[in-house]
Amino acid sequence: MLKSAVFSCLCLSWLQGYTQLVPVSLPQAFAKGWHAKAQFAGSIGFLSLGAGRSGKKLEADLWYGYVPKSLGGVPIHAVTAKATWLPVKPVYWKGVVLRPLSLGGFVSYTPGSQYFLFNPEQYPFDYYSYPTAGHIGLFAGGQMAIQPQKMPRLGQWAVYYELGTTDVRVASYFTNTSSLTLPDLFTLGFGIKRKL
Amino acid sequence: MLPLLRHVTGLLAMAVICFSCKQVFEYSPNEVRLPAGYRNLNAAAIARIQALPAKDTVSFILIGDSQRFYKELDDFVAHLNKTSGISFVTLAGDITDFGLQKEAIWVHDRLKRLQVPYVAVIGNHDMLANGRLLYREMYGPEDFSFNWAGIRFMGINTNSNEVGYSGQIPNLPWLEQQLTGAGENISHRVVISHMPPFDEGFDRKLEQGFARLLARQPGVRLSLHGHQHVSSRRQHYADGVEYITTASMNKRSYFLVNLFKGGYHVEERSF
Repeated sequence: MLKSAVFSCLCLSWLQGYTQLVPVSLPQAFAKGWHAKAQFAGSIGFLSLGAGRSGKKLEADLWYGYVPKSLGGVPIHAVTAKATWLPVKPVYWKGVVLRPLSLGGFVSYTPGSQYFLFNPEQYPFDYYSYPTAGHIGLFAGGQMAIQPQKMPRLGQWAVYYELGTTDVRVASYFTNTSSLTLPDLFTLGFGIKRKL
Repeated sequence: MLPLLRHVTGLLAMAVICFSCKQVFEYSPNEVRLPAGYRNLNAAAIARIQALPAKDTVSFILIGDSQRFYKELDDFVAHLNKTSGISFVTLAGDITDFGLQKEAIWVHDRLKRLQVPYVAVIGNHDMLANGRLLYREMYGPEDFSFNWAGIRFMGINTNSNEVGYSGQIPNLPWLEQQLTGAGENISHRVVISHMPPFDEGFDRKLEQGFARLLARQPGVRLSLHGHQHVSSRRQHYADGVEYITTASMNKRSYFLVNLFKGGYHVEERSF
């Protein structure tokens, strides 16, 4: 917890320095095209790498996420498909360009002999009515475009955050609203995006 | 000066956010990354139990299948904390519904508010995904035993279906050793496990062996279970050993078990 908090704060404070420098032109910031992303946490990996395509208001990416044994108890790999809807047009604010609202969802698959998509043969038919290898998630968040002034060749970058939830948290929370609380429902993820 | 101030306040705001919400980052729903205070819970509970002064009549509680029944857990804790004379609680497995760390943390966050200690055995749902690793790190060995007040308590993994009925679960050689090696000053033997031997999830090839092991012990013998989500009590094998199965937490019932010299009394209660 401490390590991830320090890491997040350092990344954000470093990026915040760059956002003071130069505003990004509105049309370029979130243009259509291919992109690559890297994300911290957000239930799809400790660190995840993704690539996909952005439209005017929609993004779709495919990810590979990894949690090392030291952080997950066992090495955890995840392949995730994510879709993000950005219903609000880019907003120019105090020297940065924001997409203030993102809404999206993901489907994630974790390979491993301890998980299953369909009940293995040892069980009576449909003993467990859910897959343990797959999870779905929903999130809301925002994006902010950045462009380092002194290094224009680095290209178009954005940072984003996602406040998300997963199937397990939703299934647990909505049957226990008098016991679980909203912080139990949500987790946080941070990422960066670069236009390709 | 102003830009520097903005940087500092920005950093502080981020630090407050990062530290204020406990466990705000989740790398995977399948992660086993337990915070401090959520490890070796059975050992700590057993130490508390064994530090209690021995009594002529020991009263403890049997609950089971807490899986995703958090408001019922809250109510149970409030109810039991108003009840006197109870030494500890046993949770007969299916702590979680999906074998996930978040669920186990939610359960312990409630049961730790009990004024008495609790021990938990592993259920079939607790063996899903990385659940076995989670249980072992959070609670301890799947098979465990301890003595107190002339009673030998044994917790054992009986979820044979989760290992394809391989014959290794339950570990009957271990159970035999625990039962027969209990010592002369042991008058009661209590075995706590999730899957009852008469359930289809228990290895048919090991059912009679389990029952016979218990039946041939001296003194009082009890076998306590969960899993079936309804309560029952019966001498299943007509051999003097009573098998008591508690309902799931959503049924809002539990068993009060009293052990005394030469006998026992079991009573089902609601909350």
